[in-house]
Amino acid sequence: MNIDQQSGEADIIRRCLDGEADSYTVLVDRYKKMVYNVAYRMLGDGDIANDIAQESFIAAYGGLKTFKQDAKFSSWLYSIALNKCRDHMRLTKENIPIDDISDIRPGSGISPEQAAADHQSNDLLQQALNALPAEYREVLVLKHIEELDYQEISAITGAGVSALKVRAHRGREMLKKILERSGVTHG
Amino acid sequence: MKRTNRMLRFAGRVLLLLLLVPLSGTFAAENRHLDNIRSVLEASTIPRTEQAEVNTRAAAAMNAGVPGEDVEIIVSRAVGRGADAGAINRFLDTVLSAKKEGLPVRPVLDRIEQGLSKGVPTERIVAASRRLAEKIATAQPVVDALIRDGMTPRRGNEREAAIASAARALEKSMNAQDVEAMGAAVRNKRGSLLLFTSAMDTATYFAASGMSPKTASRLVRDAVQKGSSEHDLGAMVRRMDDELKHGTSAEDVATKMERGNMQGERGMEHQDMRQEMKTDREKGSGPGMGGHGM
Amino acid sequence: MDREQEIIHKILDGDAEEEEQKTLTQSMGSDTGLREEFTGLMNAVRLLEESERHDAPFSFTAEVMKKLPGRSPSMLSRFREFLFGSRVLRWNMASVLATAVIVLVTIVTVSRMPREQTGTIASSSSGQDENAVSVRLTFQSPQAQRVAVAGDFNKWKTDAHEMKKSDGIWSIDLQLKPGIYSYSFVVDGKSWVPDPGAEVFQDDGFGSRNAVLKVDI
Repeated sequence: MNIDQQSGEADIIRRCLDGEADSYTVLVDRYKKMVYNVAYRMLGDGDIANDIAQESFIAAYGGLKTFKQDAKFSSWLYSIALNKCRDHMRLTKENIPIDDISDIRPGSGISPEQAAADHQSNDLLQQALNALPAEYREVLVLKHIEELDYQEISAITGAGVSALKVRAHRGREMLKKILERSGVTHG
Repeated sequence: MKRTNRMLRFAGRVLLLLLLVPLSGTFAAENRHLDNIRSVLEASTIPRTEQAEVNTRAAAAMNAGVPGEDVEIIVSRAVGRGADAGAINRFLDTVLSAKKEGLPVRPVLDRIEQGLSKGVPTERIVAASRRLAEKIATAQPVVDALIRDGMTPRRGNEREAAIASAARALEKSMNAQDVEAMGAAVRNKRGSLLLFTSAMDTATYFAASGMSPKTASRLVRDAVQKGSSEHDLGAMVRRMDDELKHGTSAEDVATKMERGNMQGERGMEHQDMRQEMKTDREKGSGPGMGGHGM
Repeated sequence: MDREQEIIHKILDGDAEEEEQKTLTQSMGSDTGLREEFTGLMNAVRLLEESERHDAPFSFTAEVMKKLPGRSPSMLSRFREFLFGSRVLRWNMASVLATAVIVLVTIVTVSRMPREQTGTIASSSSGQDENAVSVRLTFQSPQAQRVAVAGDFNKWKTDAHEMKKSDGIWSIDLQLKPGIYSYSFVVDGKSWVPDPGAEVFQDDGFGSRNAVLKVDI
């Protein structure tokens, strides 16, 4: 993100704090795909991801006063979204214990039409991601899907860079195992 | 108890059959469109595996209620334009999502069909139709509120046209408040949904010509409040065209329009314009903007 | 294996130095297991990197803006929420049957009523429609070889409504039901010219504009 865009965002935030709520649309439009996609990849369900993503933006709006102007708005948004995802997973006890990963296989989901209609992911990758512990999932999503560097991931999650690297290594190993077990070897 | 259950199940099945009878005609038509789509894809250079994806999406779109004729037109036109499966899928996804979200899908279909006909690059069409769908989502509740307040659509596609026009205004960076304010102005003058639609289109045109969205919407709203009819709004558009041709900037035109009263000074306008043209010629006009440039 | 594994992960992190990459390539040359390990991890990462990025629903921004704190929901949005907000409904058999009977009766009654088309007409060939109005469009272009009208009433086909030339002026009579239509002239199959004679125009979403036609009775 370039300097212009960042100062533009500082401007927008200022206007929102001054009561011009409409300016917030720009930020929502700019980051909605990012937030939605992260929520989707963390939770595996389009409708839930939609709710969580909306809540994230609403929470960010409410907390604008506390946002430090020199920080990156996107990083802040990521951390709000991830917190909400974690909360949701805790409530629904989403984390599948490691022993159960042998159940993941292609086609064990729903038909493509049904998937398209229900905004659910039939794809193997999502099923595999769903089987990873939340901490590993987070790093892999941020590092390899959102393409952030470890510094930024550290700022977002609050974890140290070395800890994050360990999680990434372990997460990749697990992901590889799951994919191989379900028949996707050299895709 | 068991007998009652069986009777209920039987009654349920009969009802289901009766419901399906009027729908069976539609199924046949849809199958025809799906067959045509399959043929078009088979005759194209799109790989077989990717063809299957397109077929699936086309079927999903029709199942969701998108008219088969339009789905067929989009696929065949896209193939004719050399679009790849990815682009075609993006078209169909856009339409399917809009339909599932309960948005009027015709304006989106229309934009895709139009873009393909006009030879616009496919990715640009995808972006433009997605953008429109988003703005329609914002515009719809505003227009429906106006209708509920008494601005009844008299016939045809007036509601959809109003939503589409408001959506296009939102595309030009007007916001929901601007649209609501315009609606309120039209309602206060007991104007129709048609006047609202024209007002939105006029404001959009001004914004596209270089006026700031705030100025554009305020200018048209003021005109409506002064009693401008659709015909008067048309006159404003023609005046804008003329002024732009002579090199006046859109913002300057706005100032002029605000100064003059569109209603009562028709005769004066021509004199003003002749004076303006003379001055411009003396000064040497700057780069002109073609009347069709937007 | 551990040292090499470390290097693999460094490569996947984009952190590996050239020396380290060389070492690994050498080791992989003779160690099939290591090679498989590397390929497996690479594929997993590639799957992530190339994964589909999902779009938020179209109404996302509108929904968020509506729910922002401090914006009290209007009567309208509360009404909409009542109608369209997702909820769980509980039915009993009696209600289901009663509803089914009502639906059935409605279908039978409606299918007996003469069909009324709403919206723009799908095809151009209906000259017999009762409330279709004849509209004449003209266009001056002596040099053109072919001029057609394309609009939302004919799905923007460029060959469905060809105009006829007479003394350098092209014209066509369209049969249109009352409504609002957007259209443009297509000259020689390639130039799109919004009708200069139109009173009202409309942005086409692609950087130019269309003419607008309003048909009343």
